[in-house]
Amino acid sequence: MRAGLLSTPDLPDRRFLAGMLLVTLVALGLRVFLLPSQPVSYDDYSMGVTAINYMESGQLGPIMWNHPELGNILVYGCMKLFGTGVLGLKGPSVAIGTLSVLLLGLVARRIAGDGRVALLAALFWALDPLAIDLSRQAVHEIYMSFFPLAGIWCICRYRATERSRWLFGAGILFGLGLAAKWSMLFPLAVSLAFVAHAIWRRDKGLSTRIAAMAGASAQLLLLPLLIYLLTFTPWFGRGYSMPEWLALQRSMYQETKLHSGLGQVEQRDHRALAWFVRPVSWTDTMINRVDEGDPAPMEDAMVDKRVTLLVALSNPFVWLLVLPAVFFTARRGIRERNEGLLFAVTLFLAAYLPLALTHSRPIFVNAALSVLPFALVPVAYLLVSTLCTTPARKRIFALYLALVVLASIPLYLLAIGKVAEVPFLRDYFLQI
Amino acid sequence: MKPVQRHLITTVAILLALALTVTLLDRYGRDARVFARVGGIDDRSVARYLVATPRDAYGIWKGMGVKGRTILFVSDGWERLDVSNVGDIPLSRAYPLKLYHIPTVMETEGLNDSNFLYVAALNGIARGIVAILSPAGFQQMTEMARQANNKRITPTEVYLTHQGFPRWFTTGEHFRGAGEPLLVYVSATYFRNAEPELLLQQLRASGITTDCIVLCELAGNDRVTALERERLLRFARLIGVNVARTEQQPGTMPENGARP
Repeated sequence: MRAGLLSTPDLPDRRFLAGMLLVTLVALGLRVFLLPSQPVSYDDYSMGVTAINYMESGQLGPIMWNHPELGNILVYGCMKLFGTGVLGLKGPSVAIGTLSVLLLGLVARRIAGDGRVALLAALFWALDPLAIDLSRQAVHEIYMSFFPLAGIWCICRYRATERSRWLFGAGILFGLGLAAKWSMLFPLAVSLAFVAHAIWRRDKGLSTRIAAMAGASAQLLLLPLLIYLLTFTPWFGRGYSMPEWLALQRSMYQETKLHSGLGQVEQRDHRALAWFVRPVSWTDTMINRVDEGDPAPMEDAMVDKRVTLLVALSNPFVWLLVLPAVFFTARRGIRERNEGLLFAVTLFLAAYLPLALTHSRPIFVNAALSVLPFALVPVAYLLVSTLCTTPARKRIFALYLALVVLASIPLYLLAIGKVAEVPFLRDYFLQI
Repeated sequence: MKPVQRHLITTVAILLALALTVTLLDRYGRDARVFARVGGIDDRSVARYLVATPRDAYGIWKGMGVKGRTILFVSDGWERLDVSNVGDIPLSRAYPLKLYHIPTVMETEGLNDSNFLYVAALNGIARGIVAILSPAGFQQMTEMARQANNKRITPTEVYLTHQGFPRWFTTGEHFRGAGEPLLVYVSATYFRNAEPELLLQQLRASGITTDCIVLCELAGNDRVTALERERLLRFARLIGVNVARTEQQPGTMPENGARP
């Protein structure tokens, strides 16, 4: 089997590194631009209060009590270091959101075996309205992109070098990912299967295989569980025991399984099946009065300056390519027996299908953050494979890229809540 | 070192680390619980108080320094004593944010007769509640619980969490103890349709142990009748609380142990 993972040189060339640096800086710029003036949402503020509540009293809630606790730990730590300003509250999200761009590039280079695919995937992620929107908020949604990518990068390094320290690193990162959101379980399962398959093919003799698989399972299952457990230390400090912890996990699962969110479900995109078939959006409405003494009632939320709408509208030029790209990549992967491409497709399917097939609760677009990084690699692979071949096709590629960037401008203004200040865009987008 | 040995050492080391973590966290949690002197329901050496309001009960628990405990809440119904999500998020939110510690704010500014259990939960006094309700109160609770996500309903018990905080609801007839010393709180409302002798018999039969019993008259609550308060005092006498001073000055008497 051909393996991009094995054939990719360990050290990227300078052009790739320079490109990644540039894309990462663009990502950082888009994530911090005008951030201090972005209103603090109810969830932003509540995240700060929840983090204090958890770290100082071990109490869950008031928001997102059914999600694991890493977000509370990071936000609290950051507020301790930098205070309750924008850096303290949103620093972890901005940093993680920016670094996820770099990681996506590194992972894509490993699994596609092509620096151009990696740069393109990273650029798509840097410009993606949903990734930008949720990297600019205190809530921990963006973590579900970063930690899987970090763990998978370690898995790729392990696959290339067969040094078990990479597996150990992956275990720690997967554990942190689990402590951020349970969606981490899907890439973790794929990674474990991928490593097991590699061990089975590499090692000879049953005892060697069993020992290697036991070592890998301990590092990819037990080690993450250990990390996950440790993040509940403040909660245990309230007097709880291990059986009570198991009961809490059941409650968290039950809530997560049935959670329907706040507000009108039917008026929002709430089915994952639609994500890559038509444009979808994730909206946050923020009401932030200048001072507490401002008693004026809200008459029209669309024109009231105290109301800010952050709308993460999917970029159709990228998102609508996902399903054909996954099909193309899978076909190419099977035909060429390319381990890296098949890994990419499996990661996407494992992350997406459980959400697409969920009917017990609405799945809102914010959950796409756990899927999109794995979707962008096939999209970039499709484009590079089909359009970067002849000069004529390269011109089409350049045109396409220009289209993506142009579309990203109004989508960016929507995502950061500034579209209302541009008359034409306001009339167009906010009448949707 | 051979690869097989290396893999086995890695596996064993992680297994041990996990087992140690599980043991230490469990121990850390159990050690965080703070108890006073523990005895049976009618053990005279256990601290017992007759108080006027639920807030007084909170003050007693706070003063005793108990932590990480299960409260046995005995009342006619659950009413509005829910562990509710109080989010006083200001509409004006400018950097640097004026964030607050919910348990402290609720205790100093928000404590009232309806939320004293919630505040006890926030401040680490309670880590769970077992509620003995009247049959009608239990039935009402069962109906309410059907609409919740986190519930387990049987004919004799309802288990319901709020933001991960566990609560069990049952009746005196079906209460079977809790496997640990409880903070007992008995509201006068429980005696709307119940006799004190029967409650004591049921509590004895359950074999519970406790380090603090608080009997609450709910002074000033118009819905509590004189008969209910009289039955509460009867219950107090049954467990050996001297209610003489209380009858002269309702709601002011600590029985034994110093009022915090």
